Amino acid sequence: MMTETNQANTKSPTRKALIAMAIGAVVGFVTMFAVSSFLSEGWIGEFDKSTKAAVLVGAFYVVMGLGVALGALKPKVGARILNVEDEEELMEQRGMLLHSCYAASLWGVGLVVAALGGENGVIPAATALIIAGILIALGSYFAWQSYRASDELMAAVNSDAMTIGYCLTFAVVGGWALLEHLGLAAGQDPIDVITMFYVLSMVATFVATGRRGLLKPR
Amino acid sequence: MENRLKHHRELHGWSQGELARRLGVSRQTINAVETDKYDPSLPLALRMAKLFQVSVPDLFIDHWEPEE
Repeated sequence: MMTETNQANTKSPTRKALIAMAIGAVVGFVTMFAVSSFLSEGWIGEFDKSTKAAVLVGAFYVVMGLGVALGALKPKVGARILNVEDEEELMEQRGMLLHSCYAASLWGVGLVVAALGGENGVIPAATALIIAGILIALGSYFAWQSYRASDELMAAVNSDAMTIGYCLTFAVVGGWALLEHLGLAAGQDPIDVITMFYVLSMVATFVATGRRGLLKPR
Repeated sequence: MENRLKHHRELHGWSQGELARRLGVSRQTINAVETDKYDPSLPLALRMAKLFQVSVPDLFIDHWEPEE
């Protein structure tokens, strides 16, 4: 069921959702293709699969953050591409959305910096540690601010996401570590573990959001 | 949990947005409660009941009965 507005919504929610999904898919594909090509060209160095995966996931977080920022700053445009009823809904939640976009973007850049740092990276280890540490800490601060600006439904979704994320991380990272310990799986690169935290947090957020009916086309 | 929020809201002629504004929550929250996707906190349930001038059990129906 859609939320009800004072004005009749003349556009089909399914059509709107399909258009939004198509735009998201194109933007996601172009970003991933651009980042992937950039890393493969070797302009800034040669990278292994783990580093490339981490940079891609970081870039995805940044793009996601920018998409939310667009919705918060330009509600008219955002209402067309995000799964919301109308621009008013975006205006109502502007504070929470802006903090959330800062958090996602900072975390994304933090992961990219961490991935490109280290012994075989292009950023000296100490520099990467300081920059990534500051970005991730700042991102966490904004995530906390976003949580504080949320109403109780979104706070519940956040709590659900954290619980689901913990279980997923325990199962996937723990399961992989167990298999590795038993000699049944290849060893994990440390950056893979961090990348998995990011990916599993995102998956957990989608699951939690869907369980509360917020992924239904609107 | 089954609830009669939509019934009482419509009785007052309010949109979800109007009710959300009066309660200080988002429209998504009202929608999630009405569609049984979310059970509100006790403070919000009390505010809803106060706003509609009914008791909480009139708004939220729990079919549980204590064992004899």
